[in-house]
Amino acid sequence: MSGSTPTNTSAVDFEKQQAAEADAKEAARQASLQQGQTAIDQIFSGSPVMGTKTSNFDWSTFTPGSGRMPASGMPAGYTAVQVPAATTSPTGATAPSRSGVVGMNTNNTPIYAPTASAASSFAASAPSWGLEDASGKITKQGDPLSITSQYDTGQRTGGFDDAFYNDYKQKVLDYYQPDEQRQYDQAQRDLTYNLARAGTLQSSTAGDKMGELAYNDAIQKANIVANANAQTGNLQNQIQANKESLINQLYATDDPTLTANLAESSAAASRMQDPTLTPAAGLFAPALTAVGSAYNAYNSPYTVVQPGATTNPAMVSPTPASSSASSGKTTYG
Amino acid sequence: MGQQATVSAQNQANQDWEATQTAAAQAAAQKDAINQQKAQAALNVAQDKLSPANQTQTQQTAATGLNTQMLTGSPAAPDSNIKILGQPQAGADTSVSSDMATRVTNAAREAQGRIAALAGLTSYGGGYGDMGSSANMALANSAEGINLASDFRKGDTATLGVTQQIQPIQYAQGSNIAGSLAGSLAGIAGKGLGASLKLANTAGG
Repeated sequence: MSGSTPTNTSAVDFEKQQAAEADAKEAARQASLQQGQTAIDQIFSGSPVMGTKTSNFDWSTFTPGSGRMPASGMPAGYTAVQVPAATTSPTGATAPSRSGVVGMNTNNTPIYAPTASAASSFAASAPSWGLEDASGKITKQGDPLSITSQYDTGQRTGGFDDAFYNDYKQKVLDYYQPDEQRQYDQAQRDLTYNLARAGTLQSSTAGDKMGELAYNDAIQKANIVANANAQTGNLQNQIQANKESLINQLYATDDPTLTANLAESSAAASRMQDPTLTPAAGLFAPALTAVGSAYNAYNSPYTVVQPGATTNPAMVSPTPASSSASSGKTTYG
Repeated sequence: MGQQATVSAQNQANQDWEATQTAAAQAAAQKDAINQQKAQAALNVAQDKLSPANQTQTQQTAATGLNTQMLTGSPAAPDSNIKILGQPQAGADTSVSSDMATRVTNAAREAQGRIAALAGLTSYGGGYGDMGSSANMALANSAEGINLASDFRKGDTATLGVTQQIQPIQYAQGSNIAGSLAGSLAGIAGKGLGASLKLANTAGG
């Protein structure tokens, strides 16, 4: 053994193989995670709505191939090709014609032969670059090229959007608001009857009670909205928690398909979720109770109310008959 | 002559190894920088949404919206017809009905103030679209981006660790002492460079 020989080739080869496998595995894992994350995002937040627009291609973004470097910056649907420079008209308005691929460049782009009539005059011209669309039309670099591209409109379709949450909130409102209105109407009717029975329908007492009822009505309506808003917020939190759980499962499994299926199931279950609805309690009882007390007081033959007494505002406005004739009748002052 | 050839071969192997390791470290550093930028971008979005100005704006918008919703169909709504119980009886003193309307209107105005306070209070947190839930959503969204980038960084670092385990090829010349020397030199060079690459990667990340 007079020459030099590597002593650990097998070990080094094995380590390189291991590194290459780890690299490939990690790349696949990251792609999988990214795919899963995108799928979950689209299921929960909706897919982007893409629009199309037509614009002139900016040739400054196009980099022709050079040596072993392939061309870059082509618009979607176009392929960079090398064509003899003079195959277009001097104005560049006419697309060059070609008779076929005669070879490949070092960067794997085709080289087309000019038409027979032009071949002689263009034989000495240096090739230039152009873009070829799906129909085979070639546009020389620098010539006007109208391209149609897609762009994100910023809108989303599907997912849990404002419309979904507003619909949920409306369900809560639709459940509670009619009940509140029914109770309000009932309280209004009862109050009217009570005031009429008390003979105070056209009195400042009636004004107070009406005001109190209207106040309660307004506050109850506001509370219902606040409650609906809170329930909608809870639903949003729950859906967000579901999303986070699915993302955790995605990390644990590295299986975007499984996770996407779970996300679909979770999203469907969330859509079917009903609000937590409980029957509304008596919302206007206090107002009626006070009127009932006043009514009972006015009609009690044992009640003696001194004019000017202010301990019970409800009993101030109606002017009772004289104490000597306290039969329960009231007169209006 | 054989000894010289062995040393040259070993030097070449070391240089190849160094180039490979340097390229791997640089590639990993580039990936790490990209992922770090992605995480930073996610954080920046959350920071922007959580800025006092934006949170205040969110709260005020929510308060206005809630107040409008709460007053819809309410007797406290400024443009609604305040319902008066019953109608003044024919011949009744108009001062009575006027007093009644005033009292009901005053009650509705009081309700307006309280409802505005309720809307303001609710707009800070606990409901849909308010300041609290918007902040939570912003944080959750940024966490998703940051966690994904962080996971990628960990994976890339682990992959680089496997690459760094690759040893340089070691040459030996039979039983000549030069072969042993070359092997020792390769080992020292490998350890030294490996340590410096780890340091560089740590500093980069």
